[in-house]
Amino acid sequence: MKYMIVFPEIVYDDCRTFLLRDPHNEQFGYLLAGVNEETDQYVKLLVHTFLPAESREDLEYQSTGGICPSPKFQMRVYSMCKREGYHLIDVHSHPFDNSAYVRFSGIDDRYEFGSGREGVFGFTAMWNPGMYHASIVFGQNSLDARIYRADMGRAVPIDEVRVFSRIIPTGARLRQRQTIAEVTTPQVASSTTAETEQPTEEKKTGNDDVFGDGSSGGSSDALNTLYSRQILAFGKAGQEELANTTVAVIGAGGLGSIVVEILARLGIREIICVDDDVIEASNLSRVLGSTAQDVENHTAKVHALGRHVKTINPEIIYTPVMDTILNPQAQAFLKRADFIISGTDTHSSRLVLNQFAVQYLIPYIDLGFGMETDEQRQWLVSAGGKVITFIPGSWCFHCLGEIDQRELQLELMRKEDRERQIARGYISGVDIPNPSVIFLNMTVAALGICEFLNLLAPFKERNLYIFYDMLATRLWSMKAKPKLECPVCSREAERLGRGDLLALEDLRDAEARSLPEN
Amino acid sequence: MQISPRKKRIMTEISQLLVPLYGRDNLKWDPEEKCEWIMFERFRLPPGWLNKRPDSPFYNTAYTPLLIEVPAGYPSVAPQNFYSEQQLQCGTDFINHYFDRPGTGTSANKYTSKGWAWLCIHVNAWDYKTNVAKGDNLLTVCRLIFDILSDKRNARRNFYS
Repeated sequence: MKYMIVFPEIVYDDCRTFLLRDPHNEQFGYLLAGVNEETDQYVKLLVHTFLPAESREDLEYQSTGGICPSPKFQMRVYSMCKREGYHLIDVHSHPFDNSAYVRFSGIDDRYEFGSGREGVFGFTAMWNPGMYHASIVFGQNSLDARIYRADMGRAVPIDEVRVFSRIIPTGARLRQRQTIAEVTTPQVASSTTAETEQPTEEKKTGNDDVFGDGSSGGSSDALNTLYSRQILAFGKAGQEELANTTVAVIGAGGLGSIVVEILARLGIREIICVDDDVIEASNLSRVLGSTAQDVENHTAKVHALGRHVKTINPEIIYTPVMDTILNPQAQAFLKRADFIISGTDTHSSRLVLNQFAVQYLIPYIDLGFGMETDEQRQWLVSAGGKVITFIPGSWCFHCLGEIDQRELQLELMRKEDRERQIARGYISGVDIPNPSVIFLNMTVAALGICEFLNLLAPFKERNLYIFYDMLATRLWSMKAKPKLECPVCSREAERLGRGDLLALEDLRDAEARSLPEN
Repeated sequence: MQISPRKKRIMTEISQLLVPLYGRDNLKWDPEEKCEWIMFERFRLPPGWLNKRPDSPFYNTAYTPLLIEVPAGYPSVAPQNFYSEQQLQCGTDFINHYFDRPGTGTSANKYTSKGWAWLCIHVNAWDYKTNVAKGDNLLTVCRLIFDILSDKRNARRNFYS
């Protein structure tokens, strides 16, 4: 069983800044979390809210060597967790600790496990049995984390603390391995690792088993041979990251198949591919891996692609999901993904994936392209693409206005309503196929993969909102801002990091609605 | 127990927005998890409209039952299908975009047999907010239906019918 804590960047930064604001006094707070769990495989606590102990009433005592929340503050938070179904993480600091191996103190142990009287872990396990209760201690240069297992009557170490795509090794794991290695992004390096003992150097020189769990997906020699050229480009640590990453690709058509092939060649560990379509003759010019035989056999796109990637990279774990992403059962496959890349270019899939990414704190890259001809369909008047990278906790597709209401209605309309609207002339052109060419798809897919890789193993500034004009041979990026009180991604919307607490959306066409009689 | 954000939203809108204005006894909704519809037993019609259905309890009055289909993607997706009493009358004019017979093709209304007339109204602009009382919601939909039936110019900006 693997235990992880996942933070949105903004919450992590708020929390860390508060806890280390005073070098002389420990600080305390609570993190409220949702959960993404798979029985016997993993538990990911998804942090969505930080509640700092800010006032005197929140604390029983506070000093350089210890801190304890007041019973009133404790019960307020415990009650909130019970009422709302949240999970809980106690966070406090050891501001005096400058080492790379901060650890829980004896006082921490007594507070959490009890000594003569019940500790907080035991109490909450009894009072709110379904709730996960974990704790993190922050030092100046490191952190340590553990989670209580009521069934075992003790705590176990948290394997991984993730801040978006950045993995922060916990003290327990570091001690276990006798190695320091940390993956950071250039933008945030100063806040977490600038003073850490030599992590960046180790990243550059390489370490075959960065996380000490043998999960790197192959021996060092094999990696060196297979991926020697790209290791020269973005380092062995980047290659290790790829070999430990699971990507969900939505769409196995003109864009998705290219994305999947590139990922397979890059050496990704696992791909989950979702598409409900079969190979048709018109796909052969654009869908990688498709054959004339597949057209005859009506082979599912996900299966044709699976066959193809296995010839490229036999070690890859490939999970085909022949279903629409509008089905919650298909969405559930995405829960174990570290990234989502979508090449469907529809507003309905964008709606679903945007909400899913917010709910499960999974970064999501959306690829889209378009070509338009004149009325006689003789000349191209526009052609280009768009790559949008959504990092939960910042802005989302709803903030950008990238989910069009009218398009959404058309895509999700029942068949009978659509036919009725077409007959009345309200809709036109929906069944006319759009122009599409493989080289534009490849350009957009490559741009998307470049941004994905940069998130995983940073080598340049992030560009989250990229436009490509094929006719003008022009590429540019824009900055975006979150929408105030966004109904999807704002904290007020109560979706961010709620994980399994919220049901997944079922947007499939409901052919037979049981309306009441008048 | 998982919470459905959609159902939670619909129930909040009903209790906070619709019940205070239309009354609890006047409202019915789909008891199933999918919550596919909301029905007003007695929806006030604008001036000029009359209910001419002889077997209706609202015969010769300005009231109709109203049925709103709530889409699967609500509140991200605006409601698109609305149904009222059959045989409504507005003056002596033929009413455009009101279909109370089974019909075929452009005027097909498969719910005629259930006693419903189809109001061909389309919501084009939709901006919902986190706070159910702000932005668009089921109450603004009811108001827009009323406005469309009143043929107000403002409403036509948001609808085509």
